[in-house]
Amino acid sequence: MTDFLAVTSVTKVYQTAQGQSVTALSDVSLEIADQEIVALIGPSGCGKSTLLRMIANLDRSFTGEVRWANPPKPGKDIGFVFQEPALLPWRSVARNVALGLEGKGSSKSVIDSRVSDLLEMVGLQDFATSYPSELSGGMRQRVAIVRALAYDPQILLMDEPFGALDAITRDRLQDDLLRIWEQTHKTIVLVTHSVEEATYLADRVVVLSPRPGRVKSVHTVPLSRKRNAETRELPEFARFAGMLRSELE
Amino acid sequence: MSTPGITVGAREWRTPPVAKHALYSMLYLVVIIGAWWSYVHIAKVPPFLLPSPDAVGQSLLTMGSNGQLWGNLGYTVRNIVIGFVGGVVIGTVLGYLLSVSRWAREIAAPYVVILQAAPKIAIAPLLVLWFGLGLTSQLILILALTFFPMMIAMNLGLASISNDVKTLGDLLGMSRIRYFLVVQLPGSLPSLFSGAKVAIIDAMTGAFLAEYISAQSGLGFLMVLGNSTYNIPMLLAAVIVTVAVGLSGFGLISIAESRLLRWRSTR
Repeated sequence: MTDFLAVTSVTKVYQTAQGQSVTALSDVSLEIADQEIVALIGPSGCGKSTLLRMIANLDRSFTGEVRWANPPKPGKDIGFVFQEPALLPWRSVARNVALGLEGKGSSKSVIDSRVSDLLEMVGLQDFATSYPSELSGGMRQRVAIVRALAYDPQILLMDEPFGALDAITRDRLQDDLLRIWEQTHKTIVLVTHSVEEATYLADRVVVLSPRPGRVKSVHTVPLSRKRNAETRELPEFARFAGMLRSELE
Repeated sequence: MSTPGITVGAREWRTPPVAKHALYSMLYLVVIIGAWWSYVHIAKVPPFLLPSPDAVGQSLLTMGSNGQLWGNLGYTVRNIVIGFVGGVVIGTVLGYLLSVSRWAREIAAPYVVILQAAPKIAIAPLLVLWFGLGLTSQLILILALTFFPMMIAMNLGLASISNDVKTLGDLLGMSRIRYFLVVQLPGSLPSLFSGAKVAIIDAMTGAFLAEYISAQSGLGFLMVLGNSTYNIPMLLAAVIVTVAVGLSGFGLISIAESRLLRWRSTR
């Protein structure tokens, strides 16, 4: 089987300032299929974010292997969404979304039409010329998501993308993300603290154990891909989320 | 972004803010000059201590018409501009180098701080000794004063860029130059402007200090001349022009700031 992305026996050891060596991840293996949404959950400090940074090729000092079916081209194939929007406050919304498209040989008109399509996808077409400071937290995070999608990356990596938002905005952005997936079918790897979020969004949930991070278990979410507000009311939803919660204890 | 049509419609009946501001400034000026005039005339202050406003105005007009004012003003303004621009460039470049290169930081940082902790007035006579009474020692003094706030400002500006944005630059495969132009420079502009406001005042201090010590022309020289010839109206006129120069320099930077940092005002 040729996986879209395979992480094999990855171990990460780093030195603290006091000279102690700490094992952040120990022998982690994980396969991710094309168009799949995978959630990584685990207690704080279990190395979830480190794993995400390895997949993004931001962290290269580890043993083991991260193998791609098609190795990502630098600057074009990794979409990354942080917990904070990390927008450039001096650029308008449209110019923030265009950031990853600029300087790569596309003409201005191509970039402009791509940006307006993306803004329309998240309902922000009327805010193209606004500055980030004029937007609400949820809107800023939507801009951050389409900025990451702008250059049509192979994979979208999200590091607790909705962790800084209030509950209502969070639910709305989760629905936005599912809608974006319907339109793009992007492979998504999502780090989260919330078992409900993992259940609602993911096809599979990877549970990591406390430090050193190991794969404790991998679960397939027993829900159909079509999900909406009613999904949260289903008994399967509650049962699965409850099971994940007990796994974390 | 605000729509001009709406703004005009809502404020039609009001005085435009700029005119209002100018009006208030004029009022302040009238009150201060009025108080000065009354004090001099009521308390009968001798003119060699504090001449009345009209004597100072007269001196200003005389110097303006015989060219004494323009030559000296031009000389000082030119020195301030050269010193300020040079200091901004040197300070910004140094600030960048010290931020990105640990090597540069470890070598240079202690000397830079020692140099800055030393009072410039103490160095001024040395500069005269080494570089003579001419323009060189004056410009070096101005540069020495202006580069430091810009260097600190660049350091702070670069440090204010979040780790997530740095990561983003890596992910997007930005070259060092592109990252500097797209992220670091615009991200540092707010603090560079704060630095420039300090630097322009320092540049003026440096220019006057230099002229006090060594120059044969300039506004500082006019003050020395007025003082030593007991021409107190001339001294005061020079002080007033100096203040006006300072306010203009500061004002120009503030205008550039509000133009370039428009994104900050739309909060």
